[in-house]
Amino acid sequence: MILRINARPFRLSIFDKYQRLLLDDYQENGFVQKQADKVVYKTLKKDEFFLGLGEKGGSLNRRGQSFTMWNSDKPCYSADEDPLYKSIPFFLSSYGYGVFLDNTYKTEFKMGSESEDYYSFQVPGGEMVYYVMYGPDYKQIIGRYTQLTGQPIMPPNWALGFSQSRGLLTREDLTRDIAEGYRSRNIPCDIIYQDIGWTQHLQDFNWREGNYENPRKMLSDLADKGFKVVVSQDPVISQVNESQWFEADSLGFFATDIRTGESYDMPWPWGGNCGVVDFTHPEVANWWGEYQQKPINDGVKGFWTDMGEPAWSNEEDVDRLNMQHHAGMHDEIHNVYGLEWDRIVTEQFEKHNPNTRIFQMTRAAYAGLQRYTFGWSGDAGNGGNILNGWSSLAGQIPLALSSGMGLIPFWATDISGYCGDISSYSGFAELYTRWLQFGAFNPLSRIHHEGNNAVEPWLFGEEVLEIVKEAIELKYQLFPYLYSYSREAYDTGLPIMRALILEYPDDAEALKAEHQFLFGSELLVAPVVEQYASIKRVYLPAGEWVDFHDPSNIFRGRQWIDYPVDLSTVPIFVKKGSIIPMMPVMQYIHEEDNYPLTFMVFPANNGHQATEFSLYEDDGESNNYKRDQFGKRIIQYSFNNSGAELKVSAQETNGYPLTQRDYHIKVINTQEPKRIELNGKKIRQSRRPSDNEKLQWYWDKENNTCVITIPEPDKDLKLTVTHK
Amino acid sequence: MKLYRLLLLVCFTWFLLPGATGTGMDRSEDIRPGNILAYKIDGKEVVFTCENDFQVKLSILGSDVIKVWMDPKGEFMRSNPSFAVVNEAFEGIEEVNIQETPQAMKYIQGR
Repeated sequence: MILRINARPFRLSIFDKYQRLLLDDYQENGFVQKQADKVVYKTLKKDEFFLGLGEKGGSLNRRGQSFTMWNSDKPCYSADEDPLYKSIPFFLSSYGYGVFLDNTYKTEFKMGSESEDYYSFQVPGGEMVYYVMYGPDYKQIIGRYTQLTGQPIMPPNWALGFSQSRGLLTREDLTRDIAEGYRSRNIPCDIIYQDIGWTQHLQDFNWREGNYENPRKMLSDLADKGFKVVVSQDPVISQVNESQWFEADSLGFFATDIRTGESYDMPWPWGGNCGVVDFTHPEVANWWGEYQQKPINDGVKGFWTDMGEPAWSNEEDVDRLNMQHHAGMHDEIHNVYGLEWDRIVTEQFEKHNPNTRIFQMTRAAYAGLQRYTFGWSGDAGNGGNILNGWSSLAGQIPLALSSGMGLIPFWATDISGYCGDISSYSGFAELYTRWLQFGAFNPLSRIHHEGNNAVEPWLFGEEVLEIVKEAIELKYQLFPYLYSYSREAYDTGLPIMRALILEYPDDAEALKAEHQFLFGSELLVAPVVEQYASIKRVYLPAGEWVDFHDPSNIFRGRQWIDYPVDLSTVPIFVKKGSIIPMMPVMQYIHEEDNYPLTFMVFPANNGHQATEFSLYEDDGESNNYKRDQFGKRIIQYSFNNSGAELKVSAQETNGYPLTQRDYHIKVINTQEPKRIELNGKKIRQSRRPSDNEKLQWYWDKENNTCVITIPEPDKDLKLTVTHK
Repeated sequence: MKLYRLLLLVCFTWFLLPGATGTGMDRSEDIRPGNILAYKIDGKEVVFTCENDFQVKLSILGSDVIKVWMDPKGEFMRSNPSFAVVNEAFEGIEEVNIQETPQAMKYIQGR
């Protein structure tokens, strides 16, 4: 970077090393104070576009749009509504730089919405402090932002399984029924959520009397079947809960009303008026930690931190500005209120449960949330008419992709959209199916809906059940791939659901393809988000792309295609030159610890560079990953003069032993081998497909696929394939 | 030591920027930094003192990351430390130097 400061008047300009202008104050308006507002104006270049600003709706390209940072409770929000639940004032420019505005007040970003000549960001209070990060590519910019604001924590491995929720899923009998519903139908599922009604008295963390006969036994029984239970918590104490309210009030743990000096009287959607717990008060942490540990001691596995905007504190609720927190008035603290709560939840969990990985999924937060929590996108869907939720579903894709660029790699939509009463299950079946097909490719997958609207997969008919079960099963099969990318997210901050433009920054069409995404960098997923669709228009960037469902179907890149779909179809493409590690379907993550691995090899064209994947593994539940205690299998496939070679080499760091696993290697779209050797010794060819685990290979002529089975392989191995 | 890639250039030549008075913005009560009157280097930070005590602090955190703090009062005080930023130690820069050019320009180089 080259910085030039013009002295008369002050003007900051930033260039790259080739003296290409990156970022420039707009004339003499690099800073303008207009009464209380401080505004930075930057020159807007004709061809410049922007990405980011966190979990925001609207188009991925932020140019021409304006945004407000004010964490807001927005039930049934529309696809381009703003503001929403989270504030992440960080954006990326197509000119190779990123900007993080480090101000927690209600900041505004006008990304060319006022003028074609400039864009601006504005603070109504606090200091004008911003960081400029040079990439030049988007991944590097995200890397610098990650260095600045912290690495995303990894979830426990089971968090990457499937989960079920419902607004009134707050009873033991219903919880047990749902668990049985999943297991009896062999639908994989790891987590059952309990919404806030699980506790009768906000927020003493005691089980609701009458709803739970024996919560400890329930949790134990469910754990025996592989289920983990996650409970909701709200950041308030109801006045009805007199003992805890007076306790917190006497300790000074509530935000106060600047007009009276008393605890602020906060209306709340349930439980009556409340005290707002002041998580910026240093002594609140231990107090809250003791309370939240109660259900953990019973066997609960994590928290779903809801309503942390705090709810009912939207822009129009100006009375909230009278709240005084320990760290400042509400106008400064509002946007970090949820973040501070998230921090305490995680820090206290880790204090009480040493070396156990936290599961926390949150709605409201600020930049830096990735250090403590995962995120979900709140209350989407159409509450007026649930059947009109298609634009809401479609809007979740760019919103997810933008969230990822704001360091929420572990993200979820509410599958089924949360909002709207279901009057016709058959009428809602198509939208439900499409929402689930998208949600299965969220790193965190949760079905959730408001009230007592049941949204379990088996309620929508046999056809839907079969389709969504297949989508869920594929999620489980892809767990090794997803978990490897989870580690990459921890290491680099890169999202798992990626906008195409992240991987193909010079492809203008990639920016337009915002209803599809890369899942990692090898898989392209294009969920159907239109009603009655018979085709999905998909953009394939550079390279060649193999239809995951029919590998004989290969498309050249840099083109839009019309891909035929029916209700069962989730268009998925694999980039040629990829290896996708998979595992068998299990009813929950690590149901079998020593599961075999299947390496799906989609070779590059001969003459191209080697195909490689780095498969990550750790213990899945401790924080030893932060001490780099893990193992990796590096799988490489390359061509040689007579055929091809496949190598697997093991890396074990800090004493982590890789689990012994059988290998199934499937080389797709390849030539028929004449001979295959493992570490120099010939392998027997089987004339027919076989499920036994003997060392052998089989040529699947119909699919041009070579299947090699290697039981109990050495940690390092080399396969030599001689083609006919 | 990692090769630095940051160059900071201060231009003290007097020139009017094109269209500086024609931005279409209401300028009547607005506060801007105005001209730079002096600057001071402290390690990786450069503080520019402008008119009416307005100060700008540039912190060269690394070869690819800078922090800009624009303060009309010149106090550089904030009510809370950053809630988001946990690390400002980037590689590539150890200090900032300034060299003047014959055209009255000054370069500031990170080392």
